[in-house]
Amino acid sequence: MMKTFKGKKARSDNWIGYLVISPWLIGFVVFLLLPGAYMFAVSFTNWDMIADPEWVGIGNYIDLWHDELFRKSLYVTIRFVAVSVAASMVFALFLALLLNRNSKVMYVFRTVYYVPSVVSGVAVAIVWSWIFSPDFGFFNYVLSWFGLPAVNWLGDPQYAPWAFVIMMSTTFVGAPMIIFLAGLQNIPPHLYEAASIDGAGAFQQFFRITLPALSPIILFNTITMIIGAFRTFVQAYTLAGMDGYPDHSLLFFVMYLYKKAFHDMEMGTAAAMAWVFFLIIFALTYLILKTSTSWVHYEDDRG
Amino acid sequence: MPKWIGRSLRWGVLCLLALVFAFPFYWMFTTSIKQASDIFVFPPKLLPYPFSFKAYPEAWAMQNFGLYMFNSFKIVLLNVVFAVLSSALAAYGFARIRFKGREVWFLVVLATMIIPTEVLIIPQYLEFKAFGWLNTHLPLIIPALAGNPFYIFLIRQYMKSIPYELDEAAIIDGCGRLAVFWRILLPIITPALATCAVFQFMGSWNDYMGPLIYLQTRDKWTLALGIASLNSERLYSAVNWNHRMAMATIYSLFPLIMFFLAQKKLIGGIATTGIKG
Repeated sequence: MMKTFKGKKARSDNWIGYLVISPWLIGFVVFLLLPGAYMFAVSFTNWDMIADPEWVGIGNYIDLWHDELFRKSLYVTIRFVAVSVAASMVFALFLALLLNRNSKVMYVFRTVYYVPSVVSGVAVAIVWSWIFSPDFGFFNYVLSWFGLPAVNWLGDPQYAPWAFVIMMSTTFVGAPMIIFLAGLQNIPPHLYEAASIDGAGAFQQFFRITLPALSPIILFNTITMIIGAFRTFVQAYTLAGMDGYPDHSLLFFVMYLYKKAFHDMEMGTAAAMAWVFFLIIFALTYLILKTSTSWVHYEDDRG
Repeated sequence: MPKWIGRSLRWGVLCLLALVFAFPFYWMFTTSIKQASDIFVFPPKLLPYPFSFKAYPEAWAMQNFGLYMFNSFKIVLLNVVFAVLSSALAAYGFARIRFKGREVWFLVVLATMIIPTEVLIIPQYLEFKAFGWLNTHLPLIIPALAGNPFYIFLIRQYMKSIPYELDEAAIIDGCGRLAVFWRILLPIITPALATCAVFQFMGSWNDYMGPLIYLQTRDKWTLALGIASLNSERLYSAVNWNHRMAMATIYSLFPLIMFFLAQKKLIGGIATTGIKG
């Protein structure tokens, strides 16, 4: 189609092309590329934003390694990412399988399960802190139905991370569920018909047809959910304050980064942390994409 | 196994989970209309009776929530207009115009999708500080002019499904490239634009970290900050749970309304990114 526009037209297309992408391009340079490079430089200094920055080489990175709270925040975050991504993934797929029927009622259910993902983290945290209240909370009331003792969910470092996982699961499940559902509806029905003629049971059909067909979507969901879980901030900050009360058990990586930068005014350390954060996410995404070739099945590949 | 067992099992599980997912909203609203004396009881009272709405005006009067709401709306609306228009413009370039380096730049767009915004809060803070933008709404508005990689991707996919002959015919009729975008394509891609607008509305409305970092004095605050402060000031003020729940209800109402107005498009938008991404 583009053959109609040659020569002079093509040259003016270069010009107009860059013109229309310029808002994005300028924003990319001004708000991402330059700040990123600048942050890299800042991460090698000690700087409180008042006195002049002092060059310390890789000192900040070494300090981080020895900083107990930093390691704690890393541990808290990674444990949360592992548990919540695995649980939400299974849960989302389970819901999508249940909802994979075309009817008005299923549409209503789909909406109910998705709604918690659109509500602000601040409101979610406030409501759940009341539900988890040790003396008057609804959660302990439910436990009492089963004869279980009341637990100080948000005051005990042993339980707080689990309370948080429970709270976030309703937030995290909506988006991957919708994507799974769309994927399920794209699987050609004749595959299942052929399989059942060959005598494959429901379990075999799930593992031989459904899962392979969904594998590109599982890959997409894994990456977006891991990044989403790593970014955890608002809910934990509202619920547990800057230090991740109790006993730093909810001190997430981004919270510690925020504290280092805007409370302790240690810009160099915080910049180093941000780079570590970026590298972890980059490395994880790369690793997952790299290994995905062995378990992701693309329809086009076999063509 | 008879069919009806599987069927009722499916329905049972779906209903039970729906109750779990809807419960926080029910609890938020009913706590907000409970009488103060009915809040601190165990076992909790499931039905809010007797009820009263007086926590709403009481909570509203505790801080300047009218101003917070105005600030929130101002920031959100400008964000929506800027982010959607710039993204659509960039998407037009990536979908319709053949220019040198297009593929490379589009890869950059996709790559930036995985960069969490939290990574850049420090240098951006320093940058906006150098601009003299601290304690203004500018750091929360101007970056939207750069568009959003996720929207660029979404709109580009949508544009690709529109026949190029439309552009061609308009150009032969003497339309410039920008006129093609503005007059021909923009009206056609409104469904994609609406999807992005709703996403942006929710993202900006729910944003907490941005206002927390950049806004210092209460006259600049947004609803998110006001409601969080109502929550953290509970220990030394007359704020009760019904007040907090009342404000949380008001705050949640707007994204919920947006969601119900646009749910089909929204869910379609999410599904598209997952499948084609």
